[in-house]
Amino acid sequence: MSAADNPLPALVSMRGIVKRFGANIVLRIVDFDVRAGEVHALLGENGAGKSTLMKVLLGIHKPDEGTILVLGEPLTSTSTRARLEAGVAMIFQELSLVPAMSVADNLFLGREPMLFGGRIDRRRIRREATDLIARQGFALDPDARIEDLPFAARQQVEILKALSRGASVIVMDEPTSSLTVREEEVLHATIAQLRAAGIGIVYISHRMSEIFRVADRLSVIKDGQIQGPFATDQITIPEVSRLMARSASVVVMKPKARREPGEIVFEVVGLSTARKLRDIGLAVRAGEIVGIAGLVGSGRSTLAKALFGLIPDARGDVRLGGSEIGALATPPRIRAGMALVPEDRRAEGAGRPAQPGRQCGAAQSCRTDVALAGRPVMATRDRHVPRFSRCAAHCLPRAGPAGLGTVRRQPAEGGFRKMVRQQSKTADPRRANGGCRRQRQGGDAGAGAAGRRKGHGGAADHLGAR
Amino acid sequence: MTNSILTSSPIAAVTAAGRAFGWQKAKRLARDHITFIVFGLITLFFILHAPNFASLATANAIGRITAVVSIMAVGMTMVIMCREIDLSVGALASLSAMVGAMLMQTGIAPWLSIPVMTAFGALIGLVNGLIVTRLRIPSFLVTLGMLSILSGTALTLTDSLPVPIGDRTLGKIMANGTLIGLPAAVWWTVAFALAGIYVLHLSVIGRQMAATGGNEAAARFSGIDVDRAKLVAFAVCGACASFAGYMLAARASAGNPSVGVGLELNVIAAVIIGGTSLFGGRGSVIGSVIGAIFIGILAFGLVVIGLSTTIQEIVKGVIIIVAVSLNRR
Ligand SMILES: Nc1ncnc2c1ncn2[C@@H]1O[C@H](COP(=O)(O)OP(=O)(O)O)[C@@H](O)[C@H]1O
Ligand SMILES: [Mg+2]
Repeated sequence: MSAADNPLPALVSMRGIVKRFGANIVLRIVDFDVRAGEVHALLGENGAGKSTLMKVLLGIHKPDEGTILVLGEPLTSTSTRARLEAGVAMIFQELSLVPAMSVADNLFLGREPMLFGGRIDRRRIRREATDLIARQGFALDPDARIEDLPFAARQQVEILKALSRGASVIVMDEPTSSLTVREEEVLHATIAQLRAAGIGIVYISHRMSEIFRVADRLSVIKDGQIQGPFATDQITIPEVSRLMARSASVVVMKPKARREPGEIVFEVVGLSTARKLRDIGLAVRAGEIVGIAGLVGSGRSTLAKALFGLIPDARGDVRLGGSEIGALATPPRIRAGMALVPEDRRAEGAGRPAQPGRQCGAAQSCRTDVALAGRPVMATRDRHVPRFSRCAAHCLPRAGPAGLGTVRRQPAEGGFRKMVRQQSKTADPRRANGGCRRQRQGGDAGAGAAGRRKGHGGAADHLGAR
Repeated sequence: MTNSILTSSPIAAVTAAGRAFGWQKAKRLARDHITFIVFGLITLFFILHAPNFASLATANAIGRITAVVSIMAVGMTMVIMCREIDLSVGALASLSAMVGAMLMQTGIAPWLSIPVMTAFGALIGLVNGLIVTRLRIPSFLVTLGMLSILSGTALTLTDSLPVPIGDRTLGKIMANGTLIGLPAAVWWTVAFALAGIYVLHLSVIGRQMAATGGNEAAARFSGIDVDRAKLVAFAVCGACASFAGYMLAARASAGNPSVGVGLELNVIAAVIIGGTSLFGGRGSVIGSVIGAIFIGILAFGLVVIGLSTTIQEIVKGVIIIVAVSLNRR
């Protein structure tokens, strides 16, 4: 099944990788390789260990066991720097550029050409950056500051940075999670170019259709083990879905009888902040889950914090449990029985840093959310978006340079009310499609929503206003 | 291999959004210089309301009283660029005034004592930097502790007594002598500013400081030795503070153990007023020097207008807070 007779040599070969975080065994004996000129997709649920495996490859995490060969050279115990020099590069989910510096300066960061006296050769940096950009066909201004650029352009800078350092393997960790459809197409064209040039690419994504479009081979991580690689033309989406589904957690939840939601328990009118949110109206009824979807940076987290009274410059009318509360007051909200499950629980939650042996995965943290479900709970962590998006009634458009548009309320339909269903990893595919349809209607003006199907369970896995 | 992929592609058009807009640059320019605009107005106010404020004598006087803060601000800019802080500069200036005066009593040549004292400051700064980078303690705490240690040492050396400097040449070289009509203190300010501009804005180490403060993870990932950049910044900051403290001693012909008390506040204010972000990664040496001069103008102007020194302190504090809040990034 795996294209074993492929004549191209392995650029990277990871053998028997074991990685533990305390008592949490994330990877148990994983083999992974990348060949020249291929796109090797890495799939798995959130928290499966995809990023961890790649961080082991980059030397950011040390593996507990196993060996790593890059171009035949053993690099298992070397530093990140040595891996970079050996030609392994990673495009991060959180980008690793210096925001206050220009594109050109970022491309040459850490290896600036020097004149006598330790002076930086700015002219040369600018010239070579311009060349590099032109040769790759990107429309980037070498003098633009990174902080002024949209996400897609920053990603292009990252790719150029990798190429200009002679990368032969480029790891892309969920590169499309904050791209629009058009930007995604540009990225795929770039990937095609890189592949044609003999560069090996590791492509991590949740989006099944995308994987089948760009990848040559794919591997699936589940329960710390890797399956594959499979050639993408010899495996089907349902087969991959089956590989990803965790049998242990497949709790077949019978959809509860449809229940009409109760009265409005939480209502917001005209909620605005200086920068991200403009005139947002939203109402939550008893026993109802209201999903909020949007691309990274679109303002989902800001909205959740503003709803909880945590954004200092928020304005608007807030009604909770029948009484009027200012836009800016967390204590009365808590007294009235509202809670926020923050996006970054380590940084914003109440707990101290997780101790070894007390780690919990996404499933457990999800249960924590459910434990709070007797009250209105908001959860904005990315991981929840797939689950929420089934019932997405709200949609945040992509943040443009000028901030955000208006979030529109779309009449929520019945059938996705129970918080408990968050727990279920398998959902009725028809419901997923229903969610997509609603999403499409609820999208921002002129934007068609892209609801895609994730293999397992058929839950819509990505919804965005595009 | 890499070259072959770098052929032109048809996808350029799609990413035209990647260009920065001109108005963004204009907006940033105004935002970056808002404090300069405010202080320009304050200066204008003094020129209009204080008798003879706009005169060469005033400029000279301000240049002289500002030199110490300006020179210290040059080093502080580098530390703040790295997203660190050095609270010990005032105490180091006091200690250097004392140690310098005692050094002069040994009969050392005045010109030789200057590099010795500068190196002494660099060493103390290096200690700050080593504790911050090796022990991973926030620089705020490290240098707060160092403030106490250094000022305590300065007082202990002579049981709080000042140490006289008999030699007149030192005062001439460092502060009071004039060259082409300008006081030596001003020349030293210019020299330190130029050296600071070279290090921070033209050399590789300066670029590394900016990257360290701008995004430490990215800097590490680009192969930059982040700790070394911080060490250099702290060492330069210590050297500047020590030089400035010695300058104070030379000017007064005596080392006074509390001469630098509270200077760190003026220095940090000068840096922030000058447009350097307390959150690291952006800033300029020239801005810091201008910030220091503004603080000097403010202090001098308030005297000329006739406010008592006690009220002056209050007004100065308010204006600094307003300026910094305008420049908050
Ligand atoms: N630095 C870390 N310390 C402790 N646990 C971690 C760390 N990084 C990741 N993990 C854990 O490893 C598991 C896999 O995470 P990750 O590799 O990010 O998953 P994926 O990228 O597949 O979504 C998760 O359970 C996560 O909690
Ligand atoms: Mg990940």
